[in-house]
Amino acid sequence: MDTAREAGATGATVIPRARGADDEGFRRMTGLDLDARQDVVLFVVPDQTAAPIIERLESAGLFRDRQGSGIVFQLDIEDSVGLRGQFTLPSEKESDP
Amino acid sequence: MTFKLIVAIVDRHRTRELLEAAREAGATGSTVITGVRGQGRRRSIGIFGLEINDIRDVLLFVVDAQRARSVLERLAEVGEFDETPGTGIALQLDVADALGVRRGLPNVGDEL
Repeated sequence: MDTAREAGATGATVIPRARGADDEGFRRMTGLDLDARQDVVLFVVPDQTAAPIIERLESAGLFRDRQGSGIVFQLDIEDSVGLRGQFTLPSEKESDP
Repeated sequence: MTFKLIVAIVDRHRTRELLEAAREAGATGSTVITGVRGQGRRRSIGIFGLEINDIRDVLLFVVDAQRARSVLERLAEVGEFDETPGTGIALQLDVADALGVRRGLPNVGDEL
């Protein structure tokens, strides 16, 4: 998350896998049976920031050390609400370090 | 029929209210992922410099494409997403294909 933030991500949401009580529900819901505990980390970022973040994560070596260390993928967002103030538009001045 | 996935990341205290609002706006089912940690644009640093991560819920709705925008707007309105920072966000993603989401089943996908 720190690496992504350095590359321009302004926020993050973490879905932790380590939730004992929900494991059975998770399995039923998704059909997945995961042995390793992993987190899902979501970043909503402007289009032009996405590639630099993925490159930064890659060059930081977070996903090449060993098999199963994680994957990254990017999805298009078609529409959104509530993102006002989360990003600096070109017309605004950066107020948050 | 095309579908969209609405992903709302919200304050867990508003979950019940927002599920109801989405339903009124045309979402027929929902899935809730609880106990998610969020970090906004301004990081909250608490005592001893520890970071405060708000506990959030992720709400997932697979909705008819034509209703997607109204579900988004309803969520923003009820959740006061734009008025108060940190209350939540909602996103719309395209669903390329889907099974088990048939029209006419009012509670399809309603597992929680």
